[in-house]
This record gives sequence, structure tokens and C-alpha cells, in this order.
Amino acid sequence: MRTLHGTVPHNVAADRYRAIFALRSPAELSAIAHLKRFGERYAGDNGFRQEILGGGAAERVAERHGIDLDPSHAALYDAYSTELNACRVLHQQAGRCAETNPRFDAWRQRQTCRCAAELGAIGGVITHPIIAFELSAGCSIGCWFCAVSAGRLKGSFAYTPDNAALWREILGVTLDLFGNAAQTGFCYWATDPSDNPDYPLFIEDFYFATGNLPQTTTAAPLRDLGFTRTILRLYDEYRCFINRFSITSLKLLNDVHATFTPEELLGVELVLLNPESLTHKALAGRARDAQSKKRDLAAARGGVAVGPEQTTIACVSGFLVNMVHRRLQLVSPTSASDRWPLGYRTYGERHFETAGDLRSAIEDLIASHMPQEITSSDVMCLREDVRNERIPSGFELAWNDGRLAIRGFSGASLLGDMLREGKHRAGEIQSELMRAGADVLATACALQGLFERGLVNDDPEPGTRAGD
Amino acid sequence: MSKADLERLVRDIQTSPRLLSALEGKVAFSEIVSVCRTHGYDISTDDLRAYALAQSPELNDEQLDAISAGTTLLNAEVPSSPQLSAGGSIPLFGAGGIVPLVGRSISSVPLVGFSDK
Repeated sequence: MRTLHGTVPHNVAADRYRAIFALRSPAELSAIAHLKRFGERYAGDNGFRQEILGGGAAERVAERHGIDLDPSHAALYDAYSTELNACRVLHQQAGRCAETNPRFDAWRQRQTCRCAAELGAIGGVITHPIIAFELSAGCSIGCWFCAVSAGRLKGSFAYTPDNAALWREILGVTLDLFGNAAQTGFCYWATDPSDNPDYPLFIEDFYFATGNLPQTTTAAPLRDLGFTRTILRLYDEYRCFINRFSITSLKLLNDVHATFTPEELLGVELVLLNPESLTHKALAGRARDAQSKKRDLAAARGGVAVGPEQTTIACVSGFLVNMVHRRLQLVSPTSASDRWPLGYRTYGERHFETAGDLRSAIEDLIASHMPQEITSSDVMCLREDVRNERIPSGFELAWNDGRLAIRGFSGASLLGDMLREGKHRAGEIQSELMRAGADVLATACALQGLFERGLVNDDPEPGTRAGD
Repeated sequence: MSKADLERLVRDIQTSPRLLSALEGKVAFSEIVSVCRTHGYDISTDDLRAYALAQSPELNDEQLDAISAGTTLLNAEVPSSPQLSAGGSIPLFGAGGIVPLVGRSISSVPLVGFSDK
């Protein structure tokens, strides 16, 4: 077996994922695959859906599409889905690195708390991978709804001897800095893997370095069948986690279903983004731009329809590395807004040439943006989505779907008042509360507690996004 | 560290103007530890964290109410469950989220990375 840094690291989440398949018979896996395909057809094809909703016998409608539907296997699918979701939780936990890099780990925990509160249901399922590598510059797909507004494809990072050496060194640096949390990394962002013909070589290196074959998501699964089948072969060989095809049209759904058997796609989630599908697109990037124009039009006509919205597809709380531009960014998901139209914050940006440079740049971003504690000079301003209201003997913080009351100690009301003003430095708050008779340790603990739970606003100041 | 020193510190803070004056405006545990050590208290930031867990207003059940879903934040750990149906999305087949029948889709939420293209 080829190895980059000795033995392949153990991967807890992948072990759990492999067990899903090892514990089931081929017949059971086939039944699950056909139920999965039925679900894809139902969710992605309006005509198919109407046939079912119109009273057509599901089994017969499915059969016409080559699907062997047996509703008695639904429980089998439920169990499979539940186990898949357990793997998702393990992937999230795999990003912990409190021992290897406690400062980064605490920052990621704060971002996780913030996202869970700020983004609602979506925030709760984001796994917060610690790093993503772009192996191209731009994307050739050009979807009108691209939530990260990927630019045009300008080039790719080829697997030349020099680049391969750099890549392996960078993987080594990532492991050094973050330990097995590096397993959460993946190799696309505002890029499509199929734009880089050497992509399979890079992700196989990634597997040997970290113990995880990163998830692949492509919107062009049929562009080069040899490429796609290589990805599927790597999946079969290492079987770490599910891949995904983004389905942008009903024709693509039809063609993908015609090209691959249900069994071949059991390890591939189809992300249904075609207009006929039941899913909504995230309102970020170009989709947000388009929606804004539509809303302006609707408002001009006297009405605006607003439904439940997913406002980001970003998932990384950590580092975004573009290998073509040799650019490093520190990012974390947020609701798309005028300030952060792509649905993620960029805390800082650096450039690098060598793996050593990258290590220094990562360490610099950690030092610059990940304070370990609140200090006297920090302005105590709570997150914008957190409301702060007076209650008897204290104050209550409330956000999307949570509330927290802080009361019952000397100075609690004054603390709430000063936090509400959002302009006082922590040292100033401590002094005021001391004068009011508050316990100095209790106040310090309260301020640090708000910080550690991600309630203090750490949105970078405008103008500090790049090269700060 | 000395548990006795921490207890002595907590007691002295109530009565020693000199100590209080030295701690005025200090909020970082590292700053507080530094001041306390110069005043003869052998404590560490870990001691203060432990004290915070036991005494801080957010974590003391008697002083704090976690009224609803804020419990996720109180746990100081990442959510241990993906809570896939929290947004009103009910998958057709279990929690896997292939076919949302109600509410917005969660099937396009990245498991690990990006999909929306």
C-alpha cells in the first residue's frame, strides 16, 4: 500500500460508514438502492410525482422507470438513513482538535455555536470541516444559482512532480497542525472536481495522508465518464463517505439514472437542483442576486412572496486553500447578506508559495483571529442576531430558537445594560460592576462564558477581509 | 494549584481593598491569575475555569434559566445530533432526507462540502 507519512491514520467515521455496508447482504443493499432511486425520481421529476399523486400504483410507475419498488423494505431504508446520519455526526466530531490545536478548536466550537443559533435548522447539520482545497481556479459549470458565485474557470493545479510534492507537504502540514481533524477536509469549493483531470490523484494522496477519501461533489458527472468511474472506483476501494452529484436539469437526472444502476449510485447522493425538484435553492451568491431582482419586481407589483430560506451552502469553519492562486482564507458560514453575499465570512487572507509558508500563514491567521479569551480592551458587543432584554434581576438573551436568562447575582442588570449598549470595553464593564458591588470573579466568568459560547460578535470589521 | 488558595482568594476578594484595586478592570483569566500570583495566591487559569463552571451565572442552575433550545449553547459542546427535522423537514424515508414532504429541503445541505452548483 502506498503511504505518504507512514501508516494510514485510523478513521473512526469511515469505520462506521463501512460497517453500514458490511452488515448488510447484497440483496438488502440492492433494495435500499432501489428505494433511494424511487425517492430521487419522486423528488426530482414532476411528471413521475404527478403520476403517483394522481393515484398511479407506485410499484407500476416505478417499474416503468426500471425501479424495483418494494414498500415493505421502507424500514430497511430508514435504518440505513439513520446510520448514515450517525456518520454525519462523527464527521462533525472528527473536526475536534482540542489536544493538537486548542486555540483553533475553541474558535471552531464558537463558530459551531454561532451557526447553530444563527442559521436555524441548517446550522444544526453543518459539519464544519476544518479545511477545503480548491484544485482549480474558477468553475466551468456556470450555474445561474451558484451560491458561492464561482467565477469562470481559469486553470487547474496539475499533478506535476513539483505540484504533487507540494501537495503532499501541505497535507503533512495540515496533519501536523490539526491531527486527525484533517480527515474532515475536502477538495472543492467554488470549483468542480471534473475541471481538474488530476483530481483523483490528489484525493487518493489525501486518503493516504489522512485516512479519509474526501467527499466528491460534481455537477458534471457525465462529462467524462472515465473520470466519474475513477471517483466511484476510489469510493469502492476506500469507502469513507458518500459522494454527491448535483443534478441541475431533469435531463441530467434522466441521463444519470440511465447511465448508472441504482446499486452503482448507492454511495452517491443526488442533490436535486433542477427546476422540477421539490428542493429549494440556497439564497446566497447568484441565487440571492436573482431573488433580489425578482423581489424588486414583485414589490413593484405590490407583493413579495417569501418562503423558508436556506441562506448558505458553506460548511467550512476553518481554512480555504486555493492551490492555483496559492491563497489561504479563514472562513466560516453565515447567512448571506449584503456584507457576506456568498454565505460565509472571510476573517483573513494570506498568500503562500511553499508548504512552510502555508504553515506560517495558518499560524498567523490563528494568532490574529482566534483570541483565547476576552481581554480588558475588547469591546463587548453581542452578535447581531442576539436580542438582549431586561428581566427582573438580570437580562435575557434570545436568538433564533433559543433564549438564555442571566440573573440573580449582584450587577447582573447593569451587565445586561452595558452589553446592550454594545460599546463598552470588557475592562470598563468590570470596573463599573465592581463599583456596584459585583464579584470580580463572577463578572469575569460571565464575560468569558458569553465569549466561549459564541455569543460575542466576532464578525470582522469591514475593510479587514483581505491581507489584514 | 492550591484549592485552599482559590478559596482564600474568593474570600479575600470580598474584604481586601488592595486586592480589589489590583483586579480592577481585569477580565482575562490570564490577567487575573497573574495579579493573584503577585498577591500570593497559587492559582491557575484552569482553577478559574473550574470555578467558572461551578459559579458563573450562566452555568449555575439557580441563577440561570435555559428557557428553550438554547440548551445547545449551554452544553458547551457541539450538538451531538444532526436534528434533521428541526426545521420542519420530514424526509419520506427516515432521516436521510431524500424527499422532504414538508418545509424546506435539507437534502442539499452539504454533508461535508458544497453542492449547490
